[in-house]
Amino acid sequence: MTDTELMLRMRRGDEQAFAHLIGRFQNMLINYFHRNSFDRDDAADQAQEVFLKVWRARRSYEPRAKVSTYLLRIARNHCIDVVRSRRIRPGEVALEAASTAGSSGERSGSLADVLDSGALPPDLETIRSELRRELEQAVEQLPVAHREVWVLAELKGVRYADIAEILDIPVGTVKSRHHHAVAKLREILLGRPGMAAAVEEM
Amino acid sequence: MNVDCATATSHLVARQRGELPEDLHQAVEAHVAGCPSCRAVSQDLRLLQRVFGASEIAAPPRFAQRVLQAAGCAQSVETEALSRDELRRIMHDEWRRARAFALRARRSVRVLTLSVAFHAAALLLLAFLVVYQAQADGQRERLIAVEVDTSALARLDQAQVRSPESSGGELRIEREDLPPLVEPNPTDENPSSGAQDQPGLAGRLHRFDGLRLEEDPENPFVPIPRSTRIGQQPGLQAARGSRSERERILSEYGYASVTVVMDAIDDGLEWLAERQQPDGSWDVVAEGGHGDFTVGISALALLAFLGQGQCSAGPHPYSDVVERGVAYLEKRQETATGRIGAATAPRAMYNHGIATIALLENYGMVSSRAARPLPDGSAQRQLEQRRSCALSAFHYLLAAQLASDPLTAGGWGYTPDAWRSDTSVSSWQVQALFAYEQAARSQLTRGEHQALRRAFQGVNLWLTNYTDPATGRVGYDRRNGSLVGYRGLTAMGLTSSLMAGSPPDGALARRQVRRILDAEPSSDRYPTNRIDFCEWYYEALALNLAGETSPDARSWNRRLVQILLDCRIQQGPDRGGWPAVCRWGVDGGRVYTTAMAVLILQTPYRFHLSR
Repeated sequence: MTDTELMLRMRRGDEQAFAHLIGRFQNMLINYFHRNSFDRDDAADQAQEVFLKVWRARRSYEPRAKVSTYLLRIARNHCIDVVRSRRIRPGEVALEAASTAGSSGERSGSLADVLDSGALPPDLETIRSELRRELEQAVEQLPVAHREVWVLAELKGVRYADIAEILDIPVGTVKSRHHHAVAKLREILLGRPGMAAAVEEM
Repeated sequence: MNVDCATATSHLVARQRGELPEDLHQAVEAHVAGCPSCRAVSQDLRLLQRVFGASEIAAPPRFAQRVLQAAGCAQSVETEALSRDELRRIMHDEWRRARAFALRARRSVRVLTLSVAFHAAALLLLAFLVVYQAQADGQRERLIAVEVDTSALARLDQAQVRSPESSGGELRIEREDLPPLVEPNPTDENPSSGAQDQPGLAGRLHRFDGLRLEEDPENPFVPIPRSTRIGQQPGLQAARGSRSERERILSEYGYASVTVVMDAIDDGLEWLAERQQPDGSWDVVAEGGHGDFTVGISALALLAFLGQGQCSAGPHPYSDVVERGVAYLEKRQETATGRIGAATAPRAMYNHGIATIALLENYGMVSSRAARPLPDGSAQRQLEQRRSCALSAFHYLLAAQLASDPLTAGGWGYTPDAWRSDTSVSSWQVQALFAYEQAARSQLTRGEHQALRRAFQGVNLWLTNYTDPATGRVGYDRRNGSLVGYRGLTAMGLTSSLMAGSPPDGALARRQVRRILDAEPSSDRYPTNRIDFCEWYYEALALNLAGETSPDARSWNRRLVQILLDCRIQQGPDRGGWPAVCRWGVDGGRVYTTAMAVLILQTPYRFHLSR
């Protein structure tokens, strides 16, 4: 059954269809919020809110766009609302988390430092979580417009054309923003000695 | 369409996503193929993709139910894990694959018949060539290294093996011949009461007299300076015994996260302990190995506990594991000969050699603990049994050292009457000699001292014949023999020669160390079956015995430890163990890989030699 068929069934109040819809899109939405600097639990909570909005507004659904695009538009609006209501810019939540994580991490230095020191490299899981932390920090440094495109572009199955529709900008702009975002992340993440090798380890 | 570098670069991100129009895509591809800097960028993008991928998270468990509940829906509705269509498609694919395989197999039966016939013919031809070549080599090497006094060999044969009629073809050793190891209570007996006067032992002692190793100026192996080292070691338990001491030695090795290594060792031991059978053995078959090696693999598992300073009579957490394991090996010992494990098991000397190391290491630790008078006689009797079992196993091993053929003399083969010795089997036996030396500590009688000296002399003879002095490479069944690609052989040779007393700073040893260090341990071969825990075990051990502390050696060791940590089983009931991904995994299974991995991690303190 296609996504749109599910949505149409759900519009008629089919709970089973709604359940399937959640199953299909939960990871997409949770990662959307997580990449927007919501921590794990918070990201799941916000994804839940989005699904609830979709369920409550099911009767007004019109099959005009791809379902994923439809959901992401709602998610994006929700994200902006939440961030406004919390009166902080997106990122500060994670920055707080990162700085507390950083204070414990600083003793051992960044991953690149650890690798440089020639000490026993930490195990794979440590490398992974370190990289995750460094990625979060790198993403914080992107301009908001670039970052927004990057977050969407990294979601599975989301194409440039979809992003253009979600953000209401031309496809060419999506492409160039994504290019700049990735180039910047490359500079931050792989610019230091040893990082490429650490990623290669994975 | 042609694109310049700047344009191509600006399209690389979209190219990676497959979001370029066809013509542009091909133009960019063409440019990247010829442009190193664009290729480097592409490579980075690939790496970045991995970082991005690693930062992805999954929905928490029961997320859908949570949402449904919040929405006021019935929670009994099911989310679609795998749609029926998908399931059908997967089943169909599997079926198609199976069918294709069956068809291929049927076709290949005919081809197989032809190929078998062809290979058999080729094999015959090859066998003929090998024998011919071996004879030619034999002539040459005999001239280089060995002069044989045939009368010594004749004496040896008389002393060693009784005539087949009297013992049913079995190798047999008189119990009375056995020299004492360390007496359980050294005050009881004068330790110098020499066993060397007894005729049977004397025969053994002269085994290699005719092989004039020491006078050969070409011989890269130095005459054994055993007398200067025997008894100088602090004993195994000194370094293995306490957690703080182990930690200290590991941190001297330059590991940053010593606790990670120590935890991995603890987890590995726990994994092994949980899988010990009530009779003290390990179910090798259940863990993916071969039942023929149950004795040897069980002994290997014991070595991992002994490596942690755990012995059968101690107050250690795993003392009863060791106790049960040792009792199992003793039960598998044939009283008449001392052999542990079935004589009919293929490659029986592996079983026997490793079991002997375990009995000797355990006895060495137990007896050093029990130097004080024991409160009750049963413990004393048990200690006496431990000693006699370890000793008779050791003497079987001594007697099994090949001596009749000058080309293979000094090494060990699959059985005591094997037609050739091989480096792999031999290296385990050398470790038993070393364990004997450690167990005996300073209390060797003259007879024991001499027996050990001769055995080590034989080892050096075997190594002389098997090692290429120019490259340091050690052969499997002769110098530059088969299995030339097997790197572990050189490490086995180096381990053996260092245990036999060759100085670690000799030119040949340095060459061999270099050989090992030149090939960093690699996990590229993981998870295929070309990973080789045995190779790593010997390489790590050889570097340790050679006292290698160079930056190269440190990074080599760190690399190996990292690979081992990475390929551990991380989840599920087997967490803490190692998968049987090794080249020898089908023989040993997970008990073997786990024991080996623990032994490798223990290397820094397992034989902490004072220098």
